[in-house]
Amino acid sequence: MGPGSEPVKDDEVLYRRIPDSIEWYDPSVSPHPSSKAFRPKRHDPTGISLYRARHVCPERIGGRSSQKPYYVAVVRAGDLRAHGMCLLATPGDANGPPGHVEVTNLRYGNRREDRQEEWQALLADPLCREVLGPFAPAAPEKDSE
Amino acid sequence: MSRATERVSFHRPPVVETVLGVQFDPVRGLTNAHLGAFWASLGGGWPRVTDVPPLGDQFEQFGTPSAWSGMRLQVSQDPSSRLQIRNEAGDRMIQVQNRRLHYNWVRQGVAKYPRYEETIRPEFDEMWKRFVAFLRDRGLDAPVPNQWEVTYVNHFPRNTVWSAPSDWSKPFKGALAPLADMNGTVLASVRAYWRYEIQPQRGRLHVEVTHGFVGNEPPKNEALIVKLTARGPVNKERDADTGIDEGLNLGHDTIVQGFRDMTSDEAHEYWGYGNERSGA
Amino acid sequence: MSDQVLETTMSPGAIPAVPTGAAGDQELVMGADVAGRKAGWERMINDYLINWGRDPAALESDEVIAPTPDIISLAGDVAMALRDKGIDPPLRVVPDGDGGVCFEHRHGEFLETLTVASDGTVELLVFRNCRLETRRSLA
Repeated sequence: MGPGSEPVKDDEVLYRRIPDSIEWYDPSVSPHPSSKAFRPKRHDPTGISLYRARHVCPERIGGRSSQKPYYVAVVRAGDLRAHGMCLLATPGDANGPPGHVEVTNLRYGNRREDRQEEWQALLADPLCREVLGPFAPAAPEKDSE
Repeated sequence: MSRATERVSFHRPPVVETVLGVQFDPVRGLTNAHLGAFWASLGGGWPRVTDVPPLGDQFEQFGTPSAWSGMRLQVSQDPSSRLQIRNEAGDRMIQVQNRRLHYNWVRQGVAKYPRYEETIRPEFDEMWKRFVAFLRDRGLDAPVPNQWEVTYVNHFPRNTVWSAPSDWSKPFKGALAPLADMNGTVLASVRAYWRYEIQPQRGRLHVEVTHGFVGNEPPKNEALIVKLTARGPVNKERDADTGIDEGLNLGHDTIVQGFRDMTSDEAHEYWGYGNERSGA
Repeated sequence: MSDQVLETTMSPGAIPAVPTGAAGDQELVMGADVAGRKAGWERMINDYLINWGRDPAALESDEVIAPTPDIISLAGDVAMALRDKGIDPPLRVVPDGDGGVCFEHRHGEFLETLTVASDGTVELLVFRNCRLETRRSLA
């Protein structure tokens, strides 16, 4: 079992990346992000992405592909499970930050169902404990000489 | 589903109009042209049609309302219409628009009230079925009903169950008018509105009592107009037809039993009240 | 609005027995904070929708399908219609990620979202304590 593949414990802190440019979070508007920040997107066929705080810090969540600043919403694994969300550690993508987790029953295909709409609302408030940032996009890695 | 209800029956009911209706989610692509084609499909027995403004959505809500829950919206450029289609005799009307279909009976002359179970309800069901089939044949989506609605309009003409404003408490149980003579001021007219919840949150009964003059031609009759409307959500856990059936039956039963309960024995005697148990 | 019954009857209405020119409550009472509500909608239109309409690419990303100019325009029509009705303004307006525009309103136990979807439909969702209480198509 590689690092980040161990089961997610209830007391683990998880991070959700929120791009800065899309108005899903604006501290001058509300301390809570929009529920749309937790909505599955077209590249979430198997579930929305979160990151494990024990494996990655907020500054590195942007990964190499992020070109724009972002915020980080903080949630707790046990709170998600208490409402029926399922968490699966999926650390396999070498291009992305470590500690990747999917909410497997909150997927692009079922995003409009009632229960899934409720989860998006819950994740925005009250499950979102705080929002960190903004963070600058990660600097591109230098090629080794 | 069988309904074992106490059938409320008057030999001379004061009802002058009944309306059965369904509100449904907007049907994409349903235009005024389709409504006109639907009218044409009804045949020669429905010769008269008029355009009137469409009615907005109406939802019965319970508990503390949210800020936006009563919101209605009209942003489309399309000047949507409601068609009112009348039959030859002038005692039936179909009202159809995107989001609603209503079926009216209105008393003409001394015609008898056509009973809900035997006449009006089957006619409504047939018209709804025709409308659904029409949409299907035109390649449009089936309507998804969201609210059922039943309305009964009653007239209490002067010198029937009342003779003067001081009598207005007589046709009703409970006080309608607080005082006929109050410190030298004399009661002249009334407009009252009550709302009841059909528990538990299955709908709402609206009761409106108005004093005025009614009739198409002079001399108009002075009367109390007592309008009862029951409306509620269609049960989404049922299929559409069952949900509509249960809702309309609930609305009808609520209205007729409520009307009986709110009116006095003296008025019942005048209208020839007799009740019977039916399991239909 | 649920306490009114819209007119569906065909029998002629009654002429009041006692004609009176007294003004109704709505004519006499000024609604509180009408100007504030309108300003809230104006901010959504001017600070967000108009800017998005000018530069939709600003919302593009590999995560988000940006709303088209037509959808942004429709969202603007919706905002103006609700502004003119005196409806409480939203807390925010955001892309929904699927090419739509979403207005969000929060008050007490309620979260309400009004989404102009990429296909032009308009849907209202009302959550009470994060339980979905109402889902309604408005257009």
